[in-house]
Amino acid sequence: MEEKKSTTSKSFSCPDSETLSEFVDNPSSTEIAEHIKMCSVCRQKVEAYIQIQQLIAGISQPPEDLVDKILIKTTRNNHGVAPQRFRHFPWIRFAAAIVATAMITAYFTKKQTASPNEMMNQTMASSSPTQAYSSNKSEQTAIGTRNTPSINTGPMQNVSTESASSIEQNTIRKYLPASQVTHIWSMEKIPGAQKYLDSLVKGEKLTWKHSNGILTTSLILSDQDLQQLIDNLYHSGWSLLSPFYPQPEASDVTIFTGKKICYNLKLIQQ
Amino acid sequence: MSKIKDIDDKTLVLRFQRENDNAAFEELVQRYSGRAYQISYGILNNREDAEEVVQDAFMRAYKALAKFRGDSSFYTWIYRIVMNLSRNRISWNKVRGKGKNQSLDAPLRTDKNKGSNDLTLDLPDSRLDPIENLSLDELKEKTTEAMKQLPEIYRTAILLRNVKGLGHEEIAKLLNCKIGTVKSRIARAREELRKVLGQWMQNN
Repeated sequence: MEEKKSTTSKSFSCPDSETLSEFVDNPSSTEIAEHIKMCSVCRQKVEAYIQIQQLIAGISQPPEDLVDKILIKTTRNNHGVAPQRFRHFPWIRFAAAIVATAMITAYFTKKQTASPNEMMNQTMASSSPTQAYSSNKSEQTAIGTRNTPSINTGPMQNVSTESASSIEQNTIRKYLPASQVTHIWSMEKIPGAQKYLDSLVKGEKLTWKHSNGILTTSLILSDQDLQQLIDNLYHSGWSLLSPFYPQPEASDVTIFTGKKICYNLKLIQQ
Repeated sequence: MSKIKDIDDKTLVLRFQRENDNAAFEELVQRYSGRAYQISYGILNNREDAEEVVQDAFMRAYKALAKFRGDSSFYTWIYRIVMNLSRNRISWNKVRGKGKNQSLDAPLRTDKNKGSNDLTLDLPDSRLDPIENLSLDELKEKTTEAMKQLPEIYRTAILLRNVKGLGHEEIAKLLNCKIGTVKSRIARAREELRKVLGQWMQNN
């Protein structure tokens, strides 16, 4: 009888709300734990506090595109802020301008001498399905159609230095891979695929995670190495489901700068 | 070829400073923008304002990171920027007459709900039918309303408690108060919300 009474009514020695609240944050007190086992009032309070915290977590979730918006205003900003140190070293900006001019010149020289096949590839790239996709995930911004302010440079429009930018003239585009790329690949057998990828990435042990039938890993490599890796995976029979650049055999339409790219792979079985 | 997600904050900052590695900065944004948003939301209790403040904070961090000496951790630094900008935004909103400001001395409760002490909130799980989903949406809406009724100092404390990685000590540092004060504010906020939401649950 006494035990039944203790589970349904409030004990005179119940801890105050602050103590119970602290127990929610740091449930280390065995004394409180013992008490709430016996006291339904305090137990319900603790449960309510936990549930309130869960509710608050639900209403204070950041917007899904927050990271993307920040990156557009910082690292992917073509005309916005520059890191402070460049302001103190204007010659770096001058050098960068020379390099950019050289790259643009090289691009146009190459375009004028491009073979019909190359021209066809470039045209195909411009009508890539990537343009039909949109995502809030920041690493998936390798889509070449982000709207950014453009400078009217006569025949050359929409030249951008952002991660997912494209250089466009008429229908020809070249793509600069994003600093983070996520690709979903499908293949016949996942274990074999894992071994194959491990063998391709020599000298480094990849960390694999398995969840809901999806195997994920990531690695950092240069843009050229990434293109080569993607080509190798493609030629080994894997199917790339993601429309984001770099695509297999798309080196002709990709601008390589030697920058490092974080490449996230998600493998699913066919 | 090390994975950028495994690199610690300090190394990422150094990579950005020495190699102008934007990927390093992007990783820091990935790690802390969400929590920074929750901090700002905790202070401002307004999604749009919080989002603007966080964007502004990271833009400032991007410009100033080259001069960051690493006396504190990156996240302490960015959280501090967010806190300051959020407070500036409150002042600005007051000047503009936006939002409603409550006296810190105001009583916690705005209505007198009796008999709700024994209630708990039954949160539905993720497998909900449309009607239950509607209830959850209503509950979230009610929670938002109830949060607005809380005095700012209590609301901020309980929202900061929700930020991953922020313990009582870190919250006390951010709010420039004692740990005991933080615990007390969180407890009062929880108790008040429990009563208000419990009453609402009973009526619905």
